[in-house]
Amino acid sequence: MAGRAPAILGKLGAGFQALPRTAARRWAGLKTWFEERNENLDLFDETRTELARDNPLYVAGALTYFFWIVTIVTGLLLVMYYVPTTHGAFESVRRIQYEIPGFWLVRGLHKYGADAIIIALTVRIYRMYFTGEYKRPNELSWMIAVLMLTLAMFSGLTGYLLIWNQRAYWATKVIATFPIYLDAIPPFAWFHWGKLINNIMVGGAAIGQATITRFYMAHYAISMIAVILVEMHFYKKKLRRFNLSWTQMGLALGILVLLAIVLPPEMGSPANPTLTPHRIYSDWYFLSVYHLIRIFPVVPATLATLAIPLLAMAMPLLDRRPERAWYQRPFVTVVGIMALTYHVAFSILLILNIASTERDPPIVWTVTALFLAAGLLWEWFYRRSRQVAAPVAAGGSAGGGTGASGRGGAGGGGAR
Amino acid sequence: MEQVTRRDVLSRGLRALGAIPILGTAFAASSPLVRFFRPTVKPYEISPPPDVGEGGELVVAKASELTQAWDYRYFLYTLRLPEYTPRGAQHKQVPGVVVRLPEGAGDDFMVISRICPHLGCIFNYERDPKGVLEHCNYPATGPQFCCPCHFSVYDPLQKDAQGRRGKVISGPAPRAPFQFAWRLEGDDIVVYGMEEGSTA
Ligand code: FES
Repeated sequence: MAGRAPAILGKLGAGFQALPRTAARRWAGLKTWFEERNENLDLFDETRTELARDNPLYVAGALTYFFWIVTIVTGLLLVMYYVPTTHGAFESVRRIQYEIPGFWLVRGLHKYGADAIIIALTVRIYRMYFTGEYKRPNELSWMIAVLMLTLAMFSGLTGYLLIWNQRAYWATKVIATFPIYLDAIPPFAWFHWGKLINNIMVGGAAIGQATITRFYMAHYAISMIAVILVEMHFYKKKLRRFNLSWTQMGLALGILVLLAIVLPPEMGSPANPTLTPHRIYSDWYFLSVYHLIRIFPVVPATLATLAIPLLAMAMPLLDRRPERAWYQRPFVTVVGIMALTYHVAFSILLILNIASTERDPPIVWTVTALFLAAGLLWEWFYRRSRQVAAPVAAGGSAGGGTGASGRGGAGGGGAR
Repeated sequence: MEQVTRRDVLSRGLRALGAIPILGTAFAASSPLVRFFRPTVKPYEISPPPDVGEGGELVVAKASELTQAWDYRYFLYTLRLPEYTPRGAQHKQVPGVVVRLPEGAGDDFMVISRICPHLGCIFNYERDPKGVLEHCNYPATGPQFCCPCHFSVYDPLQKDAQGRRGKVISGPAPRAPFQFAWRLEGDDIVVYGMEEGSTA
């Protein structure tokens, strides 16, 4: 025993000494992974300009960049007249809209430009999803695309509080209350992190002056930091920034101007913390999430809201088969269709004010189960037909695919 | 064989020890970092309790004004809440309601905050059950509280498991409304505090 102890310690010591080497190896692996993805990094479809010539879906990235620049420029102009205080905010926005010459157009372009960013990003993300563009070596581009949409939505959220009207106030209150529910789950529960996030977001114990100040800062910072990073990418790789023709840009800007004239952005009535409007709306892109929290218990709904973007980002890790076409990945395709369907359906249901906590959840579960079953079935048929056609090729690629949900069941079916 | 496993476990354990300085640094850095964002956190505190408000005493209604069962009165109770601005605090008005309960309900009055425990909307007292149906899609049989945001309905006649009046009978709310601390002083209904965590 006495003789063995030093031996064990020696081994342990050797293991401990090897630690830096193991860490270095892992780090090097991560670095090569990142380098390859970085080489193929594509933020606004700037490396896909060839494709854009005959497929309009590939203009989505370039449009995103264009609308973003429009929003930044108009935002910088708005800053000149906007007053970020509880007493001055609403009045200053009213004056921007109705009194300061030409600023109705600046505000209109800012608002509709921001909406257009969300639409273009959404189109781009679904395009990347259904065409399997997120696969190697574009994992990073995909993750950044999802992150962009999340940031754009967050930017919208921080932006519309600044108007300080009823809708903005109450929608913000709902979003700010969300993190508190994280305190129902362990690591958050131990340290009150949910409440801490809420306090930090709101800048105190209730929405007030500090909330405007903080949201104003965040609204600004998101775009300013991002624009620097994006500029670095374009500069280092000597890429063209605006990949649209003058006609395309003119058309895009024209649509925004037309919207600003025909549908000037609304003002609503000033925020009143003691009176809830009978119908609370968020901006349109949050409506489906609002519906989710309306029909499901808050804790699962909060977790789902967090899980959706994270799962989307993890997509390249979950679906690692080499096939890219939508019909070659039936299960993944069906999940995408399901997400799109829910997004649209939930938004419509919220607008129509149709919701019931008792009736709706079982319906949602059934529909989800039907979707997933259809996906698995289709996957099974697809695999089987391919196996019949070319057994060797199918066997080879089935072995290559691991990790995605539902794949195991489908593969088992195919082997029968 | 057994020795190898033990050694294995030991060496893994030793490697895990490497995490201690990293975690330690993270924790040491977290308090000042959090204080930067939330100045009410005390130095070296890593699990700060939530910020809460303070309120004084307020006569919210006279008992003699609420004579009939289901008579009610809305009121605003002012709380002084921490705010991370140079002025340090804001005064926030918390909407409340006092309701005269019918005979046999157990209490004469209930005094609750109208801030919905779900996501913070202000809910309403619907004396007419039809209002509950109209605003909350719930076929109520008596006067109830109804939150227009996500249709939570609270029943004044029922208490929840924690003994709080206004049990949730429909909708997503996780608990009964926040209760005011109150007492009867002669004819005055005096509120002198409220349950924590009720403002957002
Ligand atoms: S805030 Fe009242 S039900 Fe959601």
